[in-house]
Amino acid sequence: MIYLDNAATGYPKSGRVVKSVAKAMRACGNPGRSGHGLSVFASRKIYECRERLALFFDTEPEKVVLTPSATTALNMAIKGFAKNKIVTSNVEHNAVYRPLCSLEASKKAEICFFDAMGTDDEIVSSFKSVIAGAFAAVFTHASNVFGRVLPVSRLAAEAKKQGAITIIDAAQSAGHIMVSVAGFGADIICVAGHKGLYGPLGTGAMLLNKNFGQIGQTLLEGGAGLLSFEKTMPDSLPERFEPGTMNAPAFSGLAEAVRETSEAGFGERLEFKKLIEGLMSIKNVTLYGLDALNAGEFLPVALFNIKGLDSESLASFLTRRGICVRGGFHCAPLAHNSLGTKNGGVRVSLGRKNTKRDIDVFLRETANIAKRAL
Amino acid sequence: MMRRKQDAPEGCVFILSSITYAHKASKLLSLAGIPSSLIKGSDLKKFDGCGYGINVRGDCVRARNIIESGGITIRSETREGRQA
Repeated sequence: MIYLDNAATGYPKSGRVVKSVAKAMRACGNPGRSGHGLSVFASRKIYECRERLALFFDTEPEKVVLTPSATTALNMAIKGFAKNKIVTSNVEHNAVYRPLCSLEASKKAEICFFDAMGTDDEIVSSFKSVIAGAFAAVFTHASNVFGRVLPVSRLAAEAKKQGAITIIDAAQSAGHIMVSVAGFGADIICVAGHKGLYGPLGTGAMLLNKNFGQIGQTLLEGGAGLLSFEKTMPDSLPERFEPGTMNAPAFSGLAEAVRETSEAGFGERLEFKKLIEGLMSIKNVTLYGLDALNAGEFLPVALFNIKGLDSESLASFLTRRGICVRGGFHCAPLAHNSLGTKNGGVRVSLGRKNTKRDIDVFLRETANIAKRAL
Repeated sequence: MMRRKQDAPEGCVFILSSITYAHKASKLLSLAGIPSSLIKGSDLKKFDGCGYGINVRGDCVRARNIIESGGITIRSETREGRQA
């Protein structure tokens, strides 16, 4: 099997991550609730995860809110901190777009779009044309559909000039390229734990800037292990946004995954170039969103189609040849509308374990399918 | 051999606002070479439900300074069984 669906989830998870989860499964009580050894051990695992993430993304451990997914983190961030005029891009995932639409439907917000399809300068210029008067800017760091990396530091700086807070969706980029809460000048960054970081499924985080002082509205309420007689969630972070029992084994695995990611560094670039050049050389293949390839940065994610085949059929042909990719719309209708791929596309996404041979086999099989589709 | 009272290491308990801060304080002290262990506060009424803290064996004044320099608020301190 050749796994090229790393944008959906990073695969395979390492032995160290699996071992860490298994060990915690055997040894964890309920973290942050009791004073006995099993509970304290679990809370230590949770804190180690916060520490790892804080170090990796440049914030403080108490500013790391652990969540079951990047989607949960984005919902918490958007519904908890954004309102009124909110600026977003035309390539967002539904994890950003739907919470914004929900706020708009309840008359709490008005959405304004900027165009993220050009060069970095064009993107910043489009952003500047709509940011005045905004309360918040919410945008992706990198498209989950075609890998384009947005100039987030420049966008955050423009938002700050106008007094708007910045929330960045780094679900796709975290672990692949540098993501820094302080370095980007962002107020909040939301990440997935299971994609580029290669942690367990069901992990994510909302990372707040160490200087961001807003408390925000809670999305969920419940037991937090402190101030039990209060009717509302405590003001203190991260407990304010973490009601209920935390998944200590999964976050123990995430801590190990982040440690490994720190050691491994970022390294799928060469294979990606080979992948793109190979796809471009196949007759009948259309690649999307790469117009600005030389004018901007990309994650190792590519979207393509073969003339005469719908994307799900093409993905299915590749699956039968032992190659894992994803067809369809990738939960990002805005990006597909912007790319003009109204019938979807096939996404190929590289991970840290992919080899040159994987790319060769994928290109050979894709070329065979393209020949037959003629 | 019995240790004389004035030679015994100083001991104190700092109660903090959450378990996260208890772990953070413990880590800061560990980096400074001061051992501590995490405990659950016993005065439930005082802490409105639950309270976590750290039991410190060592120089309590230095420990307090280290914790507070790390931006952590100490809600309560008990030394040798008394309220400080």
